[in-house]
Amino acid sequence: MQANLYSEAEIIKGCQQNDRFHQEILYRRFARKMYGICLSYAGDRSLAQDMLQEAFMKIFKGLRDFRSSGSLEGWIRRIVTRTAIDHLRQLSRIESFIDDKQEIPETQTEASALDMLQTKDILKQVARLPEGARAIFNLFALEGYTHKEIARELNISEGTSKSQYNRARTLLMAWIIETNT
Amino acid sequence: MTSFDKWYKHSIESRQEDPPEALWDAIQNDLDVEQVWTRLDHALPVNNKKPFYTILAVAASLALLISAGIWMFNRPENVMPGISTPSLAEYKLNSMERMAVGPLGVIHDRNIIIRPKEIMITTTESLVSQWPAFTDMPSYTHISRPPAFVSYAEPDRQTLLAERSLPSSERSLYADIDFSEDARKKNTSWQIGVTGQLANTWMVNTKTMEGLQSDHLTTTNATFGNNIGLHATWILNQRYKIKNEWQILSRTGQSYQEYINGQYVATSLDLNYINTAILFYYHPFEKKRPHAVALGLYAGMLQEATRQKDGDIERITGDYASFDYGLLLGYEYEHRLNKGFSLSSGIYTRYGLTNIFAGNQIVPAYLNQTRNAAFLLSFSLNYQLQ
Repeated sequence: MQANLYSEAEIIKGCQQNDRFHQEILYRRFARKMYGICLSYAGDRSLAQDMLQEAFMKIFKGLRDFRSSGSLEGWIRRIVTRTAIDHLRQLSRIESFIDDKQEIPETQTEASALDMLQTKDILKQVARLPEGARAIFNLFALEGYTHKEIARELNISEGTSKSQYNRARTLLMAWIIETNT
Repeated sequence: MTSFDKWYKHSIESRQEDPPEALWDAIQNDLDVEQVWTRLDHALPVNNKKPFYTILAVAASLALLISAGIWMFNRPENVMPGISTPSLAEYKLNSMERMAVGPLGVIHDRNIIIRPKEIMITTTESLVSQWPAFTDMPSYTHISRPPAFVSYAEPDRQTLLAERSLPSSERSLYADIDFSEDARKKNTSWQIGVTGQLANTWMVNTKTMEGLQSDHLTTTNATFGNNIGLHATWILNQRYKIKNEWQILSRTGQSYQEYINGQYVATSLDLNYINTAILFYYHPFEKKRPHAVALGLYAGMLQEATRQKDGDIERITGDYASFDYGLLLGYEYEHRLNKGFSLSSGIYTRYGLTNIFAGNQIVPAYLNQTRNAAFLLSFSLNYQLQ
């Protein structure tokens, strides 16, 4: 299926009419990217698939009232992110953070050195982070949320958001470099 | 956002891993269910007026019961049980006239029973000539009145007993009253009769209560039944009586409109019982004695239970418990007729204390807790045994 042959407007209109063909086009066009986002939040494939399934059901229902004032991808991504956070919240995992006592290695990575890093095990390293810290890091690094917005979204303090993000980033860098050396 | 963050974002977003194909199948299944339900919801006839008619029926029943109660309560005073209905019309006497009738002079105004009897009222002058001691009686009241046939106020028993030395000629006025002390205590009597009831019945369970909600697909309909029985009443005294009632036909049930196998059909449950009840009555108002409140217990034995679904009747006696029992609460008004007969009308409420659903192969008893309840409009024809 050539999902890219159809315009967004056409896909939206078809989905609003509950046309299965256009619904599949929408799914094929965005599923891969959104699956990657879900994996970064979930830490395992099973949970990521549950998140993605629920997110797309919300997307198809929400399209009935969708007004194309903004980017379709941005709108879909927001739904996927919120769904992922809600899932973690329901599982009572959203409040698991990096312990203060955990040793954080000192790592300095040059920008040029990043190019040498491989991404094949990145999800495996992300999965090592506690769910709460992982969510904070993804919201900041993937979605571009500010710490104030993250604090409001997760019902934590801005200070906790900053500290957890810094810890998570440092740990991730260290783990990724470790696996690549 | 640091360089690491940007690298991380790019890495995640550029991943070339597709979700498994089974995920799209699962999403399609969810979409199918969603679309079918939406079509069903729009296509099936839901009774949008269901709460209106149900509420209207209940309100009409309550209005009728309350109106009947108010009408009965505001009726003119009636005579006490055990005393025959006046054959002559009662005259409304003012307090002065009530107080000064008859040869005894003093007549206490309390507990007065209006009882018509033809007598001759004597004036004070003639009273004095006949009863020289009359003027010595306390609270002597003069009255000047030509002789006339009027209803007179029977004096209370205390006053009568104080005047045991009535001449025999005057005693005839009170011939049917026993002046002895024992007679004052001997107020008990018996009454038998037949009873008919119109009942608004309810089988109180989760399904019935959900059917009263406007957004529920099942509709609960107001259900009515008839009860017929006999009773025997022991009248203890002017205030209390105990009634034992046997209802040879006592029906309870509930009707619904619900979806079964995709069709919106009428269903009803009918349970026939033989009931017995014992009720304790109390007359709370001194002057309005025909009014009584009742509290009691009932017990019933199930004879048959049926379910009617879209015209088909199915016996389901085994799904319901053989015995039921509960509480009764009510109000009654008794209207005296002639020659010992009286007509009672009352409003009662009945509530079962046990789960009448015994369970079946599909639903166990504890998952469908059901109680019998009813609002009853009752009529009895009674006969006073001498």
